[in-house]
Amino acid sequence: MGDGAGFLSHDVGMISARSLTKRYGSKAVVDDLSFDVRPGTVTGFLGPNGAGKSTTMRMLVGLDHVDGGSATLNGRRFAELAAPMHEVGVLLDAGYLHPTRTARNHLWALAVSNGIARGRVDEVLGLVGLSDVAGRRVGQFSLGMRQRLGLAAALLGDPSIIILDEPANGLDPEGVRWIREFLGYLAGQGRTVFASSHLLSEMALMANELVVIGNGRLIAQTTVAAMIDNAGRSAVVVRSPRLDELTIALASAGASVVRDADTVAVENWEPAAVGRLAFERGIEIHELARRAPSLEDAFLQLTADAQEYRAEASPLNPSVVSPPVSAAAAVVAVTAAATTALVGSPR
Amino acid sequence: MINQIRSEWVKIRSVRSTLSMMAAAVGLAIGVAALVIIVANPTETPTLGIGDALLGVQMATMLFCVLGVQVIGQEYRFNTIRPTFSTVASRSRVIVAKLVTLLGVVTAVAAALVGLAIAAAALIGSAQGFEFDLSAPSTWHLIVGNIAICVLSAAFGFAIGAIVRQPIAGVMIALIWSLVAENLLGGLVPKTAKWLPLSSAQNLVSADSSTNLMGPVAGGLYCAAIMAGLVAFGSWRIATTDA
Repeated sequence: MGDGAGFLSHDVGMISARSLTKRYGSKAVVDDLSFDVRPGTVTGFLGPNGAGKSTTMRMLVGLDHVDGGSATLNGRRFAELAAPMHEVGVLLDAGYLHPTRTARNHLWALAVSNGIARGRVDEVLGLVGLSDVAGRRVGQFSLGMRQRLGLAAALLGDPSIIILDEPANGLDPEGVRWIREFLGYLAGQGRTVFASSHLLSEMALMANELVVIGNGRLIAQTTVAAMIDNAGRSAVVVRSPRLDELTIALASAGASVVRDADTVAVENWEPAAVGRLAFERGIEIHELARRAPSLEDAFLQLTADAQEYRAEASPLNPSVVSPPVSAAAAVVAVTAAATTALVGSPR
Repeated sequence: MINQIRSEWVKIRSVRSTLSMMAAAVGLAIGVAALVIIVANPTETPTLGIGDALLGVQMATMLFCVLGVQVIGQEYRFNTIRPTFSTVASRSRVIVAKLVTLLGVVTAVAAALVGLAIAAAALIGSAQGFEFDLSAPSTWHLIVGNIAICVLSAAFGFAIGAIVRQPIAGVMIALIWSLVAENLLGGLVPKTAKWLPLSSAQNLVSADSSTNLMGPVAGGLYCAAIMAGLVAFGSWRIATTDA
């Protein structure tokens, strides 16, 4: 990795944006954005479409001019880096390739510009599993192979910082798992990995920390766990052939329950407690599972006001058409209904 | 800078279009030289000059112009300019390296073309009963002039490529300007020909220097100065625009 000599040690591996601003005409696509990305972690960069993620990444590496604020890598602006590949590896789009150039020549052209030895080209090709196709023209590559080649290019200079825009894009499930493990491995070596992705389930597994933006502004900088925790309470989902009785029993025991056709969700209870109650009442249960809020839930909640493009109703989810009812209101309504049923029950 | 030039050398030699264009230039230089000799009549003109042999090289200047556009335009067409600029922080250094590499390659290839065209003309000419005169005073003028016009043409293409950053539009503009616009302007208003970027250098490849134009050296320098200005403008556009 680049040793970062010549600047303060606490800046090594740091990506810092301070009041970063980019305007197209009168519209600010990145607006006074500040965040830090630390070494030794995979930091996910999330935001709805049009939030300014790609523009921010392009500004970090000097491709787009900054209209305000600053961005530094290892404590210096990109323009100040003498041999950038030794400090920052970049993969913004796997399609940035000349189709008639071979994979090896593509990497060699980049490597030689930063004084990187030829042997390193074959080394990174092996690292990403492309040694066998090194002499093939990249026009014949699948999207997954191009992603791997782009990652190889980012690793050429053995940089301390790696910036990737949608690295899992176009990869098959095996490839997605490979990149997740690979990025974790790179972060484990003490590198700074900053990656955007729209695959939230993948990001939940891949990233330790998150920078979330919307409309070009910072919405949150937090850990994945904290973001999910903040998204809402976990619930225990129960399936039973005697769901009405179970719902009443739970409500009478003071649980907040949400009932739908096949299941009842019990908030803030442990699965063991729900199971014990059902057992005590002699109610057969077929499924008992904890349902934690997902990163997707947390993301949608956080960026609800920042979604640029949104369908008014989903044909797969007719309830969206109905007047919105908050989860809390639904819980209260079901709890009240269950209590009424219990009190007014002839049994 | 040496590393950037080496990088550009890898780029220029590793794409099919460069190799195709070089092959076409060789074919044109030798083919036209052969054709000129085959259609000539040794009883009417028993002695051939070097200008006859180098007609194909002058035609190949258009290919060098296209190559100049491609060197920068293809980077934008395939978006490889982004990896380029995210691995070398100084855009001006990249532009200079591209230009130096291009002009170096074109100088070497043009010199080879001149040699091949003369050799082909001499061989075919002797078989057809022609005498080939290399002792004429204009010989070195035409040899150097043909190489120089190839280099200037490539620089012109490069400048247009840098300004428009789009290979197809760049090639169209460069060819229309070279083949149509300058001829039209020079024909309609003869006094302007002397000052037109490419016409100004035409005496580089003419044994009988036209009095309407500048001399070969002055014309070549004037043309080179205009090309330098166009390249500087293109570089400024690239440096100040988001990649």
